[in-house]
Amino acid sequence: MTLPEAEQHLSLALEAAVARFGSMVRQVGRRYRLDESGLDEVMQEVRIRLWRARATSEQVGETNTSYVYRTASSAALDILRRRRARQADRHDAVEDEGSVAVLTAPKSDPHADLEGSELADRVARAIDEIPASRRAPVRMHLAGYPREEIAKLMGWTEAKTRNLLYRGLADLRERLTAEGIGWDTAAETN
Amino acid sequence: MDEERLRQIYRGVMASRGRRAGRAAACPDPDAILALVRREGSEDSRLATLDHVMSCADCRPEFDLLRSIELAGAEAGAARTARRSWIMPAALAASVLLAVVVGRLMLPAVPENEVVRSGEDGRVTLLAPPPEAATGSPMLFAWHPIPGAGRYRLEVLTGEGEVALEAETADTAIMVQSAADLPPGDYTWWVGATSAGAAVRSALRPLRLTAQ
Repeated sequence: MTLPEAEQHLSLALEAAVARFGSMVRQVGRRYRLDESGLDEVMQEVRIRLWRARATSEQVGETNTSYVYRTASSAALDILRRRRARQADRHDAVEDEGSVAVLTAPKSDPHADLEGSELADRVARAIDEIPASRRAPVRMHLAGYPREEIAKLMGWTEAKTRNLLYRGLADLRERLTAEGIGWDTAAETN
Repeated sequence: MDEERLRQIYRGVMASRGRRAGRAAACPDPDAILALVRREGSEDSRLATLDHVMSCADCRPEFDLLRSIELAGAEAGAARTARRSWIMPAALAASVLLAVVVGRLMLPAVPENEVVRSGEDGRVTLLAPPPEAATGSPMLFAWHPIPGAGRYRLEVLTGEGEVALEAETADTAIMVQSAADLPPGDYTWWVGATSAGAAVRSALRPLRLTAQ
């Protein structure tokens, strides 16, 4: 086998290994509303790491899902750390040039307006006051995650999850009612 | 106010928080988010991380990314959460044990010459599933232990020799959830392990999947 042929074999084997795991993550990610742009960056990093770590196409061909998964997990962590470092650098730069930041600040958007509204502030405060053990599942529920996902993530039984969520939402209703925000119980989700 | 309206308000608050404030110093480290999705650490610390992640527009996409990778690894039998999910419930563990015992009793004795040795010590003798099974359900694969083997690797191959399923485990049985998605057809499967530095594997065993 010539060197270009060997490189082509290596490239194909590597692509197959990465594509196999990448499609599995995408399949799962679609169920969890994953923004796939972040995933593309991770899988590209996985490609580079496998390329560096593996010497021959036979070895890459033998690369199993477990190895790709561990590489992807570690690559994702590194990418998130790098992104945060870049964000921190940008944030520092903006703080150093405060007047420029004011001049170039974007106009308010509907989300910002919503947060600024009194109602949104009162809802956010009411959630903050829910006891800690129930607050996180309530937030997850309000963010749109189904109850089964909450149970799976925390390792809770379905009954415990339902109980914590039920009591957490009851706490929230009580606090909102005390704030003078009426509650429509007919539209309540089970 | 009802729950749907509450969710709208909550989504709006979350979306605006991250954009306006920049990265907060209170954001948990990516390792803490990974610990959350892997269910590592105390429940209190995981709840605290989850509480932040679910109220932070910067952390939540990171959580979704790490969780998707972890769940894909688990579905492939590669991540630790996968092993936990089928080992933890006592009833499921009992049913796995029962299936292994029944499978062992129902299978014909494996002739010595069926086992392929590529190492000096040990061999992998396959126990379950039987040569013919119905599609549409998770499938239990089981084999005899090899002394000294740390991990076993299972592969299910299509008739063309392509890998249809693969999984790794430290145990001698694994319930493969994704086997439920295999279409009917003829497959082969094998299990390999490394023991005392030598590679050991079973022979290829046929597996015919029929429609339910």
